[in-house]
Amino acid sequence: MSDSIAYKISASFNFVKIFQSLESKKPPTGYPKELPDSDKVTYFITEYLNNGWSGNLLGRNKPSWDVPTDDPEWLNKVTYARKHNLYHYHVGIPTYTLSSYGDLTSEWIIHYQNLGDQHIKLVDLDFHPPMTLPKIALIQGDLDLT
Amino acid sequence: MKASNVKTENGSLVNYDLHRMVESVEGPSSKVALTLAGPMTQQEVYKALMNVRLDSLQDQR
Repeated sequence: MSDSIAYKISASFNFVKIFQSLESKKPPTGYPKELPDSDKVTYFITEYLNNGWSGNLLGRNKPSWDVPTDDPEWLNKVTYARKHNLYHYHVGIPTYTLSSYGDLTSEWIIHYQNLGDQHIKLVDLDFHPPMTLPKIALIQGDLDLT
Repeated sequence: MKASNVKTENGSLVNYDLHRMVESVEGPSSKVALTLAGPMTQQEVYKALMNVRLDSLQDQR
């Protein structure tokens, strides 16, 4: 544990709403040896609070402006992710897969904003690769991306 | 706006729905519900997140 560094995590209402809907008792369907989904998220938060990125967070963690150049929304995504300092962490739901690069990836990722060296804000938990999830009732508004 | 689904050079799929991201970062529900400071145990983190009253977001409007 890092003695002198106080790490902080903020969470948006959107993130909390998703968290409160996660399974907390049973392993994910089809993965009987895995921990419940909420345990994966609380492990991530706990580990960050205790050790930042220098501890035992083994999932892939990367900036969200690292977008494939053939993405039709490449410029909008890169611009937006840089503007808001957006990153995503592979949280291990439903399970981790060892990538050809030697790191661990998962279908579910946590989207967060890096607010400083020791402070992140969790904004979303989403499927990756894509599955368009139903819009959450709390999320409203019609935002113009241009 | 639909999500895109594009292969990266290392073969993994990278995608996020930009519209959903904008809503998550700037929409009404992007407001901070709680801030945790370490160190904490997993159980403490779980309780803190579960104790957030989601209707308090509506109270703020």
